[in-house]
Amino acid sequence: MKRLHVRSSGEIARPRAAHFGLLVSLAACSTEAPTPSGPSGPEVMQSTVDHTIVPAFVGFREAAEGMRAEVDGFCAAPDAAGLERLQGDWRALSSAWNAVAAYNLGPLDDDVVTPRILFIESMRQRGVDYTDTVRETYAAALGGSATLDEAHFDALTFNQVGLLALEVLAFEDARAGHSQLTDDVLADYLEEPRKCVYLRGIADRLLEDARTVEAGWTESFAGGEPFSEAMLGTSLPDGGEPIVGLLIALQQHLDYVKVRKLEATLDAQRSGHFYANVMATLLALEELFEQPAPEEAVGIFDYLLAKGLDEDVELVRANLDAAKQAALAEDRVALTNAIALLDGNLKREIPDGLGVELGINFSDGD
Amino acid sequence: MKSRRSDRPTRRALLAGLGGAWLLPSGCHAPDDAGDTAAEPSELWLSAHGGDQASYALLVASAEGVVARIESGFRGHDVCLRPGHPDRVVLFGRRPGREAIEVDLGERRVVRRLRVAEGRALQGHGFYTPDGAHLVTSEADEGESLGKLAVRDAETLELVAELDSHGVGPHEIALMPDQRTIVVANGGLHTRPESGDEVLNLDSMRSSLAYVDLASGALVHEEVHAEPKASIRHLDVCDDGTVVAALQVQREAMSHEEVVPLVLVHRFGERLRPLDAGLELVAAMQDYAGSVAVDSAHRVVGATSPRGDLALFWHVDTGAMLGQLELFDVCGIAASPERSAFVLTGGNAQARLVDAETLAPLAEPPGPYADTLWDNHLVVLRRRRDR
Repeated sequence: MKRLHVRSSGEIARPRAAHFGLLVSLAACSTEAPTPSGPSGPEVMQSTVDHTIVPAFVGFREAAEGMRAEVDGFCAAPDAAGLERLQGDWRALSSAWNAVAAYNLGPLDDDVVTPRILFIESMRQRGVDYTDTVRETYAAALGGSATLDEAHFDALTFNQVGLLALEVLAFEDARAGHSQLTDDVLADYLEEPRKCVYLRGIADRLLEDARTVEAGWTESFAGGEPFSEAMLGTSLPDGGEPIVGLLIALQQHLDYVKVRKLEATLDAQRSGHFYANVMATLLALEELFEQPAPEEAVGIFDYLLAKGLDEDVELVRANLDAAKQAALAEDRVALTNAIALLDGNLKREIPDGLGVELGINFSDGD
Repeated sequence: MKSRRSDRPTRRALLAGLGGAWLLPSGCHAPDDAGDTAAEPSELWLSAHGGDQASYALLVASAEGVVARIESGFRGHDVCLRPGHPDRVVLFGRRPGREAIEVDLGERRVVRRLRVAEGRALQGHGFYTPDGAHLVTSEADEGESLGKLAVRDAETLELVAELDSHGVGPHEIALMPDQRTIVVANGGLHTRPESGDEVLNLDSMRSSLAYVDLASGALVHEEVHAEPKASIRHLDVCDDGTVVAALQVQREAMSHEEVVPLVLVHRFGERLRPLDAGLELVAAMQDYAGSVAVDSAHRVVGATSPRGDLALFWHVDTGAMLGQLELFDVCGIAASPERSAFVLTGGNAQARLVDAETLAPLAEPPGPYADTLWDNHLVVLRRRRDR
């Protein structure tokens, strides 16, 4: 079958110093004139990319490296303390992931069929929990005689790898019932050396994805300039405005957390880390809006406040606080409601305040 | 109406006054013209436009940019050409619409305004009969959304007949090549003006592709999709009568997560045939196909999904998936016989041209279309040939 994959990239100039384009993105599209005393659109986007998004992807890659190193440490001499450290590193990695998972554009969304994000969080596709697939895949691998080399892991599909696979490997044993008792999980590794080989392979694969995504933001994306440059230009590879792409990505992530997780299937249950993951997302969102550091950083809230939209900012802050409280309390209903409100803020108050159009067909088709 | 046969417009003249006469490509008909020149855009692209009451308009554009915005006073949806009056087009009000406007493109003005009867709502689509004598619109009664096909005198806009669409919530309609049968996408969704887009009959919704006799209003044939929560909403008709329909799935009313193909092909006497694109691509369309268009010369159909920022293309007859285009907020799609291409419109004031056979992008993106908000649908209007 002839299948052409036509991206619009390359058709649109994205100059490095594209401040005019960003001014259009964040300010000039508004019917109101930019506030002289407030930050400009380009300043906000530059700060957002430099001080929030890119550092978060660096943090994710570092967490993946930490996990990978811990795998070597654990596998050298599997014991209870090592397993505890391994599980701790998985939780840290999962939190780091949930601080970037909302930025599903560019390097994470690099393919329309199987974007890289799926290889890190398979549930993202349609909310399917692939735990059984992961279990069956590694059981077959451990039970077989095939060499568990790089080629083996490269051939695995998105629903066989990623954070879920690492969680399954680190938090439960392979026997029927899948015990999470430390002794049982350890026994697997002690009795079956290939399980450590498998664990290394899965951790390597995730680390490779983390490095690729980070490099996509900072070095080169799709054979061209780094994606951070596109975010500072006038349009993304699909032709959309960067600020719009970012807001839609945030919306879609919150909608995913609400619809696929809170209203359907909670993930990270073996690790007991679901609510911590949501908290990581909320804190990342807060940081993106507020840009608390460094001193010169300016965020979306700074932009809105300079336009006198204090009430809108306070509304979003209140909804963020409510969501964080609900996550801390592990109150599923309250968290669902609070995230729905935040999703609404990203569809109304924030784009309205920024003066951007999210796309009339996307948001209001017929 | 004055003849424009002799004033083949220069670009300047066109931009100044939209001189020239224009023909709507008839559905899937093959191109019979050789194309464009750099100086004279050979076709116009028409779309509803605007984000608020102040900016609602009929947008007239070309591959070179915006030609005119003709204020409508309401949010429009689809556009159709009036046969025999090559400068006249109608912009239909978006569902639940109260108005439509007939526009003279040459004079850039609203010639007349159609207001629907009390208790009726326009559904955004319609067509003229080939003789240009009657305008047919898809409408629904505001009580139960029962489908109506209103037939009006094209000159007076007086209602001369009201046919049953044989379904609820009719949306896009078209005249079949036999010129006697109307094909209707009965979306099956009951909405009320006071509750906007909220669907009031999710439990009982029934969508159908209905073939209705234009003269008698009788139901000639009906096809119902196997998935009851799939709403058939848009369609295009090939010159051989093959109908291609685009669906929108009401996922919130479904008890399963299986993906549902969003584009169907129907030939009279056969069953509905889904066009598959593989689970991942269908899933990427997020249960929503916004518009569909066929290039009959190449037997290629394109369907857009603004939710997925994605347009997919298939061969109508073989059902083979041919390619895909990623474009932010893409929804409008129309075949351009002049260019042997598809024109697609999306958010951020963008448009794209892709070759109808190879699906390769044609040269540079058209435009610019600064400050343009392309609404759901696009119609390509080609210049009448002066022979």
